[in-house]
Amino acid sequence: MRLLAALHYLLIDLLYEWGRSLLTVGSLALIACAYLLITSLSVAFQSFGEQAPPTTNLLLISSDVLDPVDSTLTLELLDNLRRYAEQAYGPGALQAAVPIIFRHMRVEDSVVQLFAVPLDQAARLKELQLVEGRWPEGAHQAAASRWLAQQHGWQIGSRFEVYARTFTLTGILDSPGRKTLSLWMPYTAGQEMFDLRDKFQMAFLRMRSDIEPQEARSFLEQSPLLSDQYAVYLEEQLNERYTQVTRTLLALTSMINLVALLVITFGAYNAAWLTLAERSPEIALLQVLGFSQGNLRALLTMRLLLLSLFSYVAGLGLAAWSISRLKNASSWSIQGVQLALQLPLLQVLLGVALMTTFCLLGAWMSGREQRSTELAALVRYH
Amino acid sequence: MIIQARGLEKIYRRGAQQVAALRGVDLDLQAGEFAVILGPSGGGKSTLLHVLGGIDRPSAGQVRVNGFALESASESALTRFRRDHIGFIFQFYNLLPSLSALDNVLLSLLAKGWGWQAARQHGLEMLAQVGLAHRSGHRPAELSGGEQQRVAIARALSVDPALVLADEPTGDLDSATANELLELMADLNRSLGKTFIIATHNQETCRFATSLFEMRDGRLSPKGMS
Repeated sequence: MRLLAALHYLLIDLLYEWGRSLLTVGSLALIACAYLLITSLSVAFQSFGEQAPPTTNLLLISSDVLDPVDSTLTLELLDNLRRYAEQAYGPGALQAAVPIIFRHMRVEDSVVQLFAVPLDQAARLKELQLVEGRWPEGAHQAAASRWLAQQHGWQIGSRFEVYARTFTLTGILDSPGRKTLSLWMPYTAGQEMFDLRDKFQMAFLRMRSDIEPQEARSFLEQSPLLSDQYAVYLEEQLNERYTQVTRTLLALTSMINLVALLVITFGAYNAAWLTLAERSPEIALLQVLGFSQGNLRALLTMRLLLLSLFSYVAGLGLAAWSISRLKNASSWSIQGVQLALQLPLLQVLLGVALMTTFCLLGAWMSGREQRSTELAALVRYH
Repeated sequence: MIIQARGLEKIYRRGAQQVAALRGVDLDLQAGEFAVILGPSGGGKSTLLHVLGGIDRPSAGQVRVNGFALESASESALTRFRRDHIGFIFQFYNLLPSLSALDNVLLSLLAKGWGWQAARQHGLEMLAQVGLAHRSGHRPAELSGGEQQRVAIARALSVDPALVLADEPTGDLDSATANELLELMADLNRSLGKTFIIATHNQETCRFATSLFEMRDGRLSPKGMS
């Protein structure tokens, strides 16, 4: 039977049973949509962060705060800590103590991490690299992470609003590890914008290189200056925990992806099996008329492929629509890092390939059952 | 001789029980005959047609149809045999409900590898031959029982078969329509020279028969023509 003739009859058949076809396409489309959304989430997690390089930095923050924004530290506390460390380890024990004003801000519909820091010190401690432009200097200048600049198509000199103030982009920077949407400005600019005198949210500390970081952490935490009000973390441990969370999320999405693919296989198999079960009189008739097992297998496979293709296109449309809605809502972020949901072409094509493969598998599995049924028995009982 | 069957046996297993549907059937039939097999339901008529049509295999015996030995043929050879040599007509028409009358006829031709346009042209001619050219675009549900059986006849004859096997072709029709159908098949037998075997319990069919048989309890015997 020629391909076009087969397609002609399959389409007639699918339209004739439009209710059942719609139900099958609808259910498979939902599964395909779920698969694509999870894939999109997985891709977002992959671009979320990488293994950060080793560091001996410590992070000082108020204890028992869920969001760093709720933390409050003072410059006086940093001075006292510096003296306390020198008493124990000698002069220059606390090499650096960098105050950070930190906020989550909405900038042009993105949730952005805003850092107001002494930029020269922060650049050294956080290994920030200027990839374009120069460091901001004035109260209305800022540098953006590469991911943020890319997301909004910003160039050096671009202007944008933050906290009802207009800023000019002077630099684009990169930092190892997290791929955050972050904005960096001078410490004084943050103080002025948020009307802060000597208060800030966090501080990066670095002890002298001969002091072991874990020992330094214990030493500082036991200090009466911090008591239970403040906590000290090893940045490397935080990074490790962050990487672990990212890996767990990736593993989770991979597992859910696998489940979605299994459901697609089962759905395809079920659709094929139902076709065979409900249409056995018609299949028997086609065999009587001289359709070979190969012809019938090809027809069944084509029927499933058509259903799968329609389902996948519908699922893709649904997923694209959902992602656009979620993007518009702009509220998808984890730990202040926005999830950039997207459907790369490669993932879409991979989905087509997987769905096709699993449909063929479904057709093959149900076709095996059909082959084991004798034609005479089918004709006799119908 | 279009059919030569010797000692055909067919035994079905139903659980532990064995049921003999054919018991030593012998049959010789010349090409161009209009053979009628009379007999009650469950007598083995359908089984014999299935064996002669390559749908089922005999448990024992030999059968040659148009020179083709069916008992030893492979599954794919039987499929080709049915496609190229046999036309089937069933009691309940067995048309695909989603397809039009014409498309139902085309199926057999497409299975045989005909091109679309040629098949369509031939299909329309076959429908015209059974008086249904004007109903070619209608689905089975839109046709009467008699019309559906005419479509089935057109489908059976479309592939130019050597043998047409009809299993209770008038069993689902009223007597007037049944007579019209029988006359149509007898006409086609005469005009096209095709061999027909009709399995039926309808005595009316006998008046069209050129050979008459009776089938009872799996045994086939010639029946005198009155």
